[in-house]
Amino acid sequence: MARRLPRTAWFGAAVVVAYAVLSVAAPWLAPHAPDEVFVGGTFEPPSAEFWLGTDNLGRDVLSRVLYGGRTVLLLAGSASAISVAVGGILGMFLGLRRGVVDQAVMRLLDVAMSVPPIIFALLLIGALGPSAPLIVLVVGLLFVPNVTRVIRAATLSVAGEDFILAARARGESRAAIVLRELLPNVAGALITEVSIRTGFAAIFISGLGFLGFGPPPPAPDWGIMINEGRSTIDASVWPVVAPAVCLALLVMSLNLFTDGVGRAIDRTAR
Amino acid sequence: MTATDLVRVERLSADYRDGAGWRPVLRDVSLTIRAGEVLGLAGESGSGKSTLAALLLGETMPERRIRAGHVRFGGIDLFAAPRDTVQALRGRRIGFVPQNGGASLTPTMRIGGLLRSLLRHHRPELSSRDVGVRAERVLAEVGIPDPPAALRRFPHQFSGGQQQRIALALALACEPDLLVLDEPTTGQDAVIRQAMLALLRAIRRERHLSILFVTHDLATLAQLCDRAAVMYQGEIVETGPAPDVIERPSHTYTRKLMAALPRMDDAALADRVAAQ
Repeated sequence: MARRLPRTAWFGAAVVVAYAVLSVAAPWLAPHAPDEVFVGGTFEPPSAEFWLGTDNLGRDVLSRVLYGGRTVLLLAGSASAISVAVGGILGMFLGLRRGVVDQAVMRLLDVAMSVPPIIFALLLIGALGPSAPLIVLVVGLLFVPNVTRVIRAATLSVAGEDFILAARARGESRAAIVLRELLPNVAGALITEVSIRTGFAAIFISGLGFLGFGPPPPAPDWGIMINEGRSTIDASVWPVVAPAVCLALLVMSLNLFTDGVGRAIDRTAR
Repeated sequence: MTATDLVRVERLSADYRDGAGWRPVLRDVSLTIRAGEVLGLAGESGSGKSTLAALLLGETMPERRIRAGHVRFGGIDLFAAPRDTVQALRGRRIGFVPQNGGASLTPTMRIGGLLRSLLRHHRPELSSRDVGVRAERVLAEVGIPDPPAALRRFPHQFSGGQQQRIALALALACEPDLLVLDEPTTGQDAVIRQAMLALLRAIRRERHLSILFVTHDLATLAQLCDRAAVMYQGEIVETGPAPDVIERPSHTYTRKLMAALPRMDDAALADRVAAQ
């Protein structure tokens, strides 16, 4: 399949990997500490010392963007992992089980999906106080219904295939059928979901930060940075533009990768 | 012949669920398959023959329900026995080759993986060396060239006819007592069909197993089967020695089936294939 991946997907993957490397290496790459304040140096334009200028408190924008990448990748990645793990297992279970249990759980998930996710997240995080683990958990669980639906649909289409029926006719155990016959054949859908949900979670978590429900300050979070720079955008655009572009590029790259994988799977399935 | 009955289907009635609800698919079907016997089951599409074949595996699914009757395999009541018991029979003592052999092979697994996992599951006492030897031997038996290389390939790397043979190899791997073949020659051209029938005759000679051969093609029945049963609208309308059923059909439906048969010279073709 890898050979059939379109070039745009490779580009997306390369950007995401670059983000991961830059985030991990942030402590060595960042010219300054993310919360180091340069007194008298607010709203500096880009220069040799501050490549992307400084913000309203005189902090280096480049360093904050680099550290902010860690926050968003870690939180969004973990949230996506939770949603795909829970939704994937639930979706496969329901797709194989079918019947009344399947219908009941799916209707419950429909109800859960009818609540606007941002309201739900703000309610919970507002009540319990913003902390990184809570944000990850809430965002991860919010995406579970969507993932469950997709994986259940993929399972249903695979479960009717002759090779699953043949495996049952060979007397294979249910666990063996899930691991050997089902899982590799819904792996494409799972990979796609991981990447879609990571992109959604990145936007969602940055949105929470923008609304003041992100990780508590002075954590360098792109959403918080955009919000802080917004009111002083006439003094300097860099504190807003830098994190906004980073976020947009990350989500776009994730989408390009997802789209490419999806198309490659479609073609393989033909 | 005084052989014992391997399979007894006793007054079996079953329903099938489609969009409109439950509708009867088997009506009061009784059937026996003796040890070492090849029974042909003929009938048009929708006559219930594939459902009957699937029920011989003790397979009940959400869209099927048993209304009455039993299926006994070697004395075990497949619908009353514990799940594990029935599951242990499938693949081990009952081999099943579905209609579309190619689609029945898991596309993400190599042939070696499929055969080895099956053998390890049903024959845990075998050493991994023995498992490998048996996997190669059964592929050779069904006529797959270069078995060691074939074990490393994926299903899509074989032709349709070879995929069907690999599905047959999977069914034979654990040395079953009964082989259930659901239309194994449907949709294949005459040469491949004759080769498949020749292979089945050879397997039968070598292994002395019982075969249930499901088909809608009466002409192939004559070439392979000892006895034939004809199904029509969920009922068995005629049973008897295969030559009698085909030469002197007693039921109107069987006569219509015979009359509808295109007269191709399959016997001459069989000779040519045998000569190759």
